[in-house]
Amino acid sequence: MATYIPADVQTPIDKHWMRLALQMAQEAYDASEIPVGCVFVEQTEPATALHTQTQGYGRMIAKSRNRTNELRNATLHAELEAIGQILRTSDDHSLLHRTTLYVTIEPCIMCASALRQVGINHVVYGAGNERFGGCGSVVPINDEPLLKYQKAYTALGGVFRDEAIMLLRRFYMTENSNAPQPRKKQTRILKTEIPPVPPTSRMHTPNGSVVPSPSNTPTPSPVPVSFTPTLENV
Amino acid sequence: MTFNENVVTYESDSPSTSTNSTKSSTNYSNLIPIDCLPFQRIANVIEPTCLDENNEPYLFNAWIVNLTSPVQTRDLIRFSTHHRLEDKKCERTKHLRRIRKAFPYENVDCGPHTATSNLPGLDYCISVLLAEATPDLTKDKVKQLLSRTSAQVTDLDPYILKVPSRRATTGEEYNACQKYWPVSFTPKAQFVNGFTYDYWDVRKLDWVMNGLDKAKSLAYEAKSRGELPIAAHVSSPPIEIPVPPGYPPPTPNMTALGYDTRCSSGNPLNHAIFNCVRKVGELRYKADAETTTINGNDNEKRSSSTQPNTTANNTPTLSGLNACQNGAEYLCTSLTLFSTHEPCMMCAMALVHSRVRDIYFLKKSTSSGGCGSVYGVHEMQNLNHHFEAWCLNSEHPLSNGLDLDDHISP
Repeated sequence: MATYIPADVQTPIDKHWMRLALQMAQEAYDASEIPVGCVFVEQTEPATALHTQTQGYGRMIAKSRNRTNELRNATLHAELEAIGQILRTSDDHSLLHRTTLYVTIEPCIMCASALRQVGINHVVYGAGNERFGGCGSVVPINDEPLLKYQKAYTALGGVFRDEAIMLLRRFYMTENSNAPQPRKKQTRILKTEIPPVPPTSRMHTPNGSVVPSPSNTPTPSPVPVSFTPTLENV
Repeated sequence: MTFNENVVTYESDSPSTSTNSTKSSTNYSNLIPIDCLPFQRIANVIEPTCLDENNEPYLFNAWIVNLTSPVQTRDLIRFSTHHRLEDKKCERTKHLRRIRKAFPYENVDCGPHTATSNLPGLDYCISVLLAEATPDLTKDKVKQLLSRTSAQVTDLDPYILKVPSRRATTGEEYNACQKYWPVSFTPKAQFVNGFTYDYWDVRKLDWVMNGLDKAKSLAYEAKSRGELPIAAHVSSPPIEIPVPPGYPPPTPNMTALGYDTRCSSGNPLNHAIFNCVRKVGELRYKADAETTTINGNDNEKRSSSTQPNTTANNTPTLSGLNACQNGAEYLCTSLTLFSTHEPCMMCAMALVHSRVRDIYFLKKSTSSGGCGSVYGVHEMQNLNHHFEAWCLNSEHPLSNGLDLDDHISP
């Protein structure tokens, strides 16, 4: 089951990086791609140079977005693109072991497995993915004990969940001219109501323990239709 | 050298020659029952048999009436067909015949007061099945529904009888069901355009074996280049091999291969299958680009193109389906993948994303495999595509060699 961080305990660091991921998703949307964006961030330890430099926010080592339509390849998800970038440019083999991934939609099973095989440390996502999600929604690849040779990682969702969902909804309102038979969608109406966190998921408490949920899911705030996430208005 | 050895062993051990007796007894001259294949299908979905361990059919209760006059037949059949009482979709009773002619003295239960027959002048009973006897459907309710149907059937006395719960797929099952209630007989080997799930065409076996052979020699080639001995390739079956119904046609002439390059590239995700799928993507992208040039420019380029099709201006070079236009969601539509090893979770999901039809591999990956060993990604019900996965038996000589450390996910 997917695990969500309630809105009131989300950290400014998570929000900061997720805004950037949302910007990447918006870039994908503008390029008629499925709007998913991600940012890889090197975490910092207190009392290191990087920590003081970045005030604990860490350093971005890659950002990416979906390119499935452009390159005609349904396996070119944002996460895999970025991992490729990192591995090409960095000689530090342990870099990914201290890296957090911020991604607007829960990684699919393929990406969840890829992230585990490169040894990522932590994943924060916006909205869960009930159809393909590999971090708990469909299968929990991130902490599956049967994969005994691959290091498990933690995955938490819920940071700017509404914004990630609305971006996807706005994308599916548009007519996909790349489809073999584009569907007419003029009659579609953009829904702004966000469903509560699915009942099969857990909530994450500030002290790290996980409690069964979701009696008090955060009440969704209505999002304007023309909403565009930027650093200012998110 | 190893390649040749394998070819020889394969031919001498081939089931296509060793199962001749089975073939002739089933009367299908070039078909091999799946039980006799050197392959194991990786699947949890097995069609249940209709008989229990005592060779008795599984049963459930149903409401039956015995006729008292032949003229009631029409009304009852209509009742049974149109109402079928509560069970609107008839999921539970659709395999059962509506009407039965039975001989009470042959130890068949024909309901109350039927020592010989329910109809004058006959020595058998005629009964009609009305519906499944659910707890809600009481005798009073059945009688009430009958009285609404027609005056002729109002006075009939419905009773409960145990009836078989599944259709019969073999003669044995059919005979076992017969003394309870007649069921429809649908033999498993149903052919659709020459294809059946229960037999393999000899040519298919040869083609699959050759495909695996090719993957294996490719893996050895990779090994000689200092890589891990893992390789894969995709292609579509030759036109003469029957394929399962319900799949869109594959892109003609689409083939691609890939081997593991994680050692030389330093990227632990450059798996053989992933490289192979990526190669298909590149080929499609290239084909698309070519088509655009061809369509945008003159006819000379088209004639000099090496690609086989290009009949009309709007047809993409490789794909009759226009498949690559939609973000290549259909990257490997209806193609077959041959691999030396069971795909890891990432590769298995990449194959779901690219809509492959079936995969065949030589070795299982016990600690990381995504097609049965850890998860069965290929038949996960929540996902939007499923594919067949077949593993060669471990005793088969072709699966020798290519061993990997347990911690490597292929």
